[in-house]
This record gives sequence, structure tokens and C-alpha cells, in this order.
Amino acid sequence: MELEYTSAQIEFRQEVRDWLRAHVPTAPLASFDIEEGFNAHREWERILAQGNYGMVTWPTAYGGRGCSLIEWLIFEEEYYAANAPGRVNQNGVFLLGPTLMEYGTEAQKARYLPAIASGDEIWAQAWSEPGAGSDMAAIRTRAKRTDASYVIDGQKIWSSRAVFADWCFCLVRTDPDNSRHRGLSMLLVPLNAAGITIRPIRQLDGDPGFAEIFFDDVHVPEDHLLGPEHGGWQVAMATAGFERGLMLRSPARFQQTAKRLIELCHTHASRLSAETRAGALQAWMDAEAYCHATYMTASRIMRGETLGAETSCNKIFWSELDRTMHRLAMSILGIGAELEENSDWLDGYMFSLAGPIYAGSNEIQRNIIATRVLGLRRG
Amino acid sequence: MDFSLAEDTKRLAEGARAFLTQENTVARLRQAEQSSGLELMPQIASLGLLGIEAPETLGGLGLTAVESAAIAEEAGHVALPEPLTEIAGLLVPMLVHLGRGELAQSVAQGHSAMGIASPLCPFAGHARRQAQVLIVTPRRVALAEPKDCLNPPRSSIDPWRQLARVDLEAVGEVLASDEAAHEACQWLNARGAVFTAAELCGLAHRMIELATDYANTREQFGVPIGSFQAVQHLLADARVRLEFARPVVYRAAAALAQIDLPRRDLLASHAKLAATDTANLASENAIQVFGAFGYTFEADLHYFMKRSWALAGLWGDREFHLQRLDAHVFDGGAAIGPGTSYRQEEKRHD
Repeated sequence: MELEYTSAQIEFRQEVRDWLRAHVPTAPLASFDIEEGFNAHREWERILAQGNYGMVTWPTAYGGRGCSLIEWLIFEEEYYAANAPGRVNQNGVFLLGPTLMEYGTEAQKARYLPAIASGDEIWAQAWSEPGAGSDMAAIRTRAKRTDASYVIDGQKIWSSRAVFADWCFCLVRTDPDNSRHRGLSMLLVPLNAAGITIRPIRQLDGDPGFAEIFFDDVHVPEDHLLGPEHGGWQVAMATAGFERGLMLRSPARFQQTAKRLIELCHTHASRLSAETRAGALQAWMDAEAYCHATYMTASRIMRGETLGAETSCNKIFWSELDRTMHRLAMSILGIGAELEENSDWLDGYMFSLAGPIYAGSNEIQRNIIATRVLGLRRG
Repeated sequence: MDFSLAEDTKRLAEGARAFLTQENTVARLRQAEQSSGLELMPQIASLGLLGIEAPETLGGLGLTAVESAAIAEEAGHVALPEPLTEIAGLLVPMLVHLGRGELAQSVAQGHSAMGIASPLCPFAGHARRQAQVLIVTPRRVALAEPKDCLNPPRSSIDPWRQLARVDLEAVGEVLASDEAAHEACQWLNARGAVFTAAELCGLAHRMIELATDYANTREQFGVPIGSFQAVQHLLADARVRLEFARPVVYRAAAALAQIDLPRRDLLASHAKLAATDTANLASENAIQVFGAFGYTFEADLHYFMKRSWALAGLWGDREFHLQRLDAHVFDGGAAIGPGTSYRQEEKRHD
């Protein structure tokens, strides 16, 4: 155990800080759930890529810097401290990227990863279906193998940013004779393919942040298969592991929110109840705890350990912390909380309500912890 | 930057766990009235566990507070009655710090029975067996005789505690005073909070394990109750808290060697709070899983639960640590936000 940064890591932090100071847009960008904001965020991804900051942990050959996970955490700390824009390509950068690294062929890595890092291709996730939410093994969207391609028919739903995105990674049933977890495959599908219809769905904030995707006789070449045919479940579980584990929500995000919450407490100090102040203090502690736990996890991975089911603890912890912090902020803002001028906290509160739902609902995470971490009997 | 336990640390903890699990069984815990709570001391001393942090020149293992925390966690896991954590984590390092190497060596080898007390822990455990008590206050560090400093024993809900209140102003051999005493007292309080927190993590872990075993065997409606989600989620919730308390405890343990005092104390407070709250949640949810059985001496849960209540108040209770953290975060100008959890300018003591 050595809890000090190396001088190279301290220099890296300074370099990131300087670069962000010079490049982060001074005015916040419009929401990436509307077209104008989506395009602005794509432009930001390109600027990040020009600085070679698209995804610092990726190998240089794929548009990264070959950084360690600790350096990634440093990057994220500077990123959130600088209030830099949200990552419109987070599905590509944090979920598909690592999955490609693990399951992709050399050709697939070379084809897709650089375009993710550069912001040229923005990805959506196409897993949930009207009849397959928490019960993901109930997926019915079919992909029939023909000579050299797959033909997809079916329907996906709750795909974030799919209204404007370029591609989706899509979990489909390739073996109709096998039910449940067997017989699924992961396909990479361009969203402009013939036969695809996209219907926007308005989210809580009114923006079309979700989409329903209809597949009607959609042909994709066979080399768009990621991982083994009929082995899509294990590929999806690896992706979900990245999602719940380390990458999707770095601690800096919550430390920054906790800091803003403490600042909000100072601004409203004269009318702050002891309960709210205690809540903010607990939130600060929990954000710190999440940071320490993540540094510990990153260090374990760097020593060659692999993540297990305990990653399900992360997702519960950060999502419920995020909701608590925003609820407290709404309480502090009180009569002004509904106003657009306070939309930072209001939008954040709305989005925090999605946290315990997406990336596998927290109830499913608790089931996983109970059965796979603690060893309780399955129901 | 590497926040993982070294292989040697893990091996040391595994060895301690194997020994403690074998020797300090729940069957032993049930014999509280027939035991001094000190029977294992010779074996613990011969394993070198009392001298974890003592330098090798004094016959110690020459390790750090991180290893002390790992051992404290194991002691908590079995609800060990012996004052292993107190001696290895507090007394021996404190005597070394005060330049009393010979005495430290004697205590680490199990030859001298010594208690320790401070304003945050004005009770001496194993009160009837102590030969001396080290009294550490911000004004004075003194070594006192039991007859001069110990009040009549008091009963605790934890039958193993054998407590006596220490008269912190008692006469004794003065080892340090003024600034040196103040520094030593702060250091001791931080160490006490961190290692108690580590014990609480071990206790929480054990309570979750006990409840898991019970839930897998107890049947109602024809199935193990552990297969019901309502029961599963009680224990999953406790496990989540534990997953985010342990790293705080080890972060704080690593900071015990650092001279950035406000940060060291901030981390110690955070560790104690995180571990106390985790143990409280684990005990409340575990007793719920055990049902009526858990409300009795028939189940073993109560030994662990009661130890966790006892430790919750020790070396700074919740109110003390909450107040200190509140002052740091709201009024103390502590750097907060991303990138402040591991300060760049921290220097190591050693």
C-alpha cells in the first residue's frame, strides 16, 4: 500500500488541468438529449480526442494514451472539477470499448475503437425490450443467420441517445430453439440501416432522451457479431460488469456533487436545519468512501485481480447517494427548487431517480449480492 | 499510488484468522463467566501479534498501522476478548513513541499486563488483571498503579469487558507532558478510533455471515427463509455498507503515519463513523433475520452485537466524530471535492 501519487502522476494531473482550463467551454452546452446539444457534445468529444483525452486508458493504437486506472481516476477528478461537459458517447467509451477490448477481433478493435475515441461514432445500447427489462434473458428480438449476414426483426426500448446516435450494440436471439440465457448474441448495428425505425420517447425532463428501436428485416454483415455466436449473454455480462463496476460512474462525479451541496449549504446557512446539514455531511462522507473504494478496486485490478459480483455493491451505493444528494439540494432550494434557473439541481434530481433503475435495477443488484456474494439460496 | 493490501499483509491476516477462529470459538464465548478473557495471551504473544508495529530491534515485526488494522479486523471477526488491538495497536506503539522501548518489548512479549486510558476511553478493560495503566491526556502521559487509578469494576452489557473507570488525574510516573503529551494523546485517539473501526468491520462481517448461515437453514413455508428477497435484501444492504466502510478504515490506517494532522484526524473520524454505522446496520438486520431466536442467548449473534455496541462508544462516539467532521467540512476550510482525497503534498512520517 502506497497512498501517494508518483511525480509522473502529479505531472499528468497538472497537464490535464491545464488542458481542460484552456478547452472546456465557458458556457454549459445544451442537453445532449436534444439535437443541438447532441451535436455540441459530439463536437466536444472531437476536441477531447484532439487533446488525446478521448479515453486515456485505451492503447495508443486505438486513440488512447495507455494510461493506468489510477491515471484514469486522476483524469476524471480533473474532468469533474473543471465542470467539463457530460460524455455523450459514454456507452461507447465506458461500456462497448472495454467489451470490444475483451471480445472483439483485431479487425473489430481497429475498426470501431478509434471512431469511439474520436467521437465520430456515437453508440447507444439496445438491450431492453417491452417484455425484457430486469428479466433480460426474456429477449425476443430475433436475428436469423443467412449466408453472410444476420437479419434482425424485433423491438428494443429505453435506448438512451439512440435518437441521434450512429450505432447500437444490440442483444438479440440468434438461436430460436434455445430460450433464456442461451442462444443470445451481441450484434453491432448501424442505426441508419434499412428497416430501422426510431421512435423518440420523452424523458422526465421533456427531452427525447430515450428511443424505441424497431427492426424490420434489418441486414447486418456477419462480421458485426461481437464475441461468440449464441454467446451473447457472457458478452453482455462483461459489459454490465464494466457498467456496474468501475467505469460508468467515477467517484469524482459524486465528490463534485457533494462539494456543490456543501457550498449550497453555505449559501443557505441561515435557514439550514440540523437534519439537512447532517445529511450533507453524510453525503460528503459517502462520496469519499466511494472514492477510497474505487482506488482500492483499481489497485486490485492493476495487481491482476478480477472483479466479481461485489461490483453490484457499487451501483447501489453511488445511485442511492446521488439521489440523496439531489433530494437534499431540492430541500435546501425549497420554494425555488421548481424554477428553471435552478435547473442544475432539478435536472440532476430527475436524472438521479434513474440511477437506481438503469444498469440493472438496484433490486436485481441486491439479489446478486445476496446469492453470489453472500451465498444465500436462490428463490 | 497503490491502495491494495500487500500479499504479506493478507497472509498475516489469514494466519491470524486461522488461529483466532480455531481458538476463540463461540463455544468459548459462551463460557464468559469461567474465563479471564486472557487465556490466549501467551499464544497471541508467541505469534508476535502484540509487536506488529514494534521495531525489529525490539523483537517486533516492524510493520505498519495497516497491518495492525488488518489484525484488528480479524480480532473483531471472532469477538476476541483478549486486548490484542489495545496492546498491539495502542500500547506498544505508544511506549515506543515515548522512548520506553524496553517496556514496550516486555508488553509485546506478554510479560507485562498493562491497560491504557485517555479522555476518549476512560475505561480500562480486564480491570482486575492489570499491573499498570498508561494514562494519556493532552496534558500528561503517566504510568499509574491500579490501586492509584482504578475505580471499582463496572458491569457492561458485554460480559467480556470487565471495565473500571480510570482516574485520569491519578498519580504516576510521568512519561511526557505539555506539547509532547498533547501530540501523543491526539495520535493515540486517532489510532484508537481507526483500530476500533477495523474491529467493528470484522464484527459486522461476522454478523452478516451468522445471519446468512441461519437464513440458509431455517425453513418457513417449506423453503429456507434466505431465499426470500425481503430477507436477502436486509443482508445485502449490510454488505453494501461494509464494502464502503473497509476502504475508509484502511485509508485512515495508512494516514496514521502522516504528519498532516487535521487530515489524519478527519480520516480517523470518518473511519469510526463508517464502521459504527455498518456494524449497527449489520446487527439490526441480522437480528431481524434471526427473528425471536436472535433476541435470546440461544443464538450466538448477541456476543457480536454486544461487542459492537461497546466499541461504538469507544475512542470517540458518534456524536464526537460527527461534530469533529462537521467542523472540518463546514467551517474548517478542509479541501473538499474531486482530487482532494489523497493530497499531493503529504509526507510520510517514517
